Amino acid sequence: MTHEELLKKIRSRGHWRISFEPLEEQTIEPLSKCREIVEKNSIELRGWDYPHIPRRTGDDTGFEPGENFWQAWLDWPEYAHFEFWRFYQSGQFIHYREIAEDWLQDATFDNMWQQEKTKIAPGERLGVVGTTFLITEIYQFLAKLGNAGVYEKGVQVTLSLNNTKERKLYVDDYGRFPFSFDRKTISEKIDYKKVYTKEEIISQPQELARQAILYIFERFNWEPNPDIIKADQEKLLSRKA
Amino acid sequence: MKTEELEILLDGGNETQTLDFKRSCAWGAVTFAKDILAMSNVQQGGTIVVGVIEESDGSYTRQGILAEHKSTYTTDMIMDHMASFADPHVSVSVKFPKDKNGTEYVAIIVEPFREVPVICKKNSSDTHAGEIYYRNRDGRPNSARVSNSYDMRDIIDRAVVKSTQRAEDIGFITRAKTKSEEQVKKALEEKLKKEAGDL
Repeated sequence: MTHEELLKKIRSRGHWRISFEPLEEQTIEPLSKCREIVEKNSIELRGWDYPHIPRRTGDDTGFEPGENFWQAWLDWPEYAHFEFWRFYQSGQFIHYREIAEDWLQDATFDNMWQQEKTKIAPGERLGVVGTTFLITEIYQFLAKLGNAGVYEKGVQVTLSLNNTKERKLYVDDYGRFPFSFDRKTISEKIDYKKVYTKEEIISQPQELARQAILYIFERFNWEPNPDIIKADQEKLLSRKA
Repeated sequence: MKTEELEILLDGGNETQTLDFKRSCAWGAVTFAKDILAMSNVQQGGTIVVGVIEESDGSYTRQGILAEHKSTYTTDMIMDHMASFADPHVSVSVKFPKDKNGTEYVAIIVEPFREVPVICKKNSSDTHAGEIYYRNRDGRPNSARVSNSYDMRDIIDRAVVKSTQRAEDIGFITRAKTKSEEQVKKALEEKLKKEAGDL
């Protein structure tokens, strides 16, 4: 597997594209510092790091430099986990992640309030708790990059959820009430784009993440009480997820 | 606060930067002031759940709030008492959530500071005037005066952001973009787009 093949695979189904674009021109020197910055500021809140730093290389994973970037990628079909990220000397960060529900074999979701399990076909579902956790991790990582001095003059963040047409939310928490009706979007793609100052990303990562989460869920016809999202974020941040 | 939200707090069974447990007791400013001051300086604020016992082995047991203690907690009274400890004032609210077994607790919800950090302004057996309290993360979370430069810088950075936002909200600061700034911005956007290629 090459990283080009992996990207094609990720893009073939539902996926996230996350990008951080600096608001001022810069060149991170030397090139190795790109690797060092991501390694040192990667976060781990639930048994998996964001972004993932491979500890080995092989047919299923790579961690390598290019002309003006470092990149890493992972192809783990048995865990429905595919990701690719690249961090440039300009400070631009791009990350592709799969929507796991689109890749799990014979996927179902189970809920204590329902008698039968519900099958999940590729392209059908997006978990609300998993989405909350992922976006919270993204902003925590962004806060650390801010603290490390990567975005001194600010950053534009774009979260892009792709292949979402007719996709429905589901409550991926066994003990919680499921939705009483479909929370669906007819949009092929949902983009959330915001510009932040360095101070904002450092001081309010949880709040900024929550705004992004609520924006995305609203496009699925779900407007939860922000306190519910906050509680899920707290669970992740206190490592109880 | 709903049962579900309380259960999330109790289920983890651990105090955190934003969560403190106390066994059932009557409200007393000296008992609670330092924790409230500390949580108001944490980014997300925090919650004090009264009715949880810490055992000798460090674990926590659900107890609930005793009836004779519950009546001593009102938001107005707590705000009044805290006014003598906090500069500027803190913002708290009191809830009486029940857990999944129907046991009732007191939850004191502390909001983060709005513009500037909260400084203690009263000496007591547990507080000193002039100190900034924080929920320190070195080891087990506890409410104490700010103990390291990282936490102090975190508090200051947030205060700067909030103050600046407030100034912008009331129109005190405006930021005019020049034509050249726009051109530079556009040039950078093009450069980053080209750099990303088909990514």
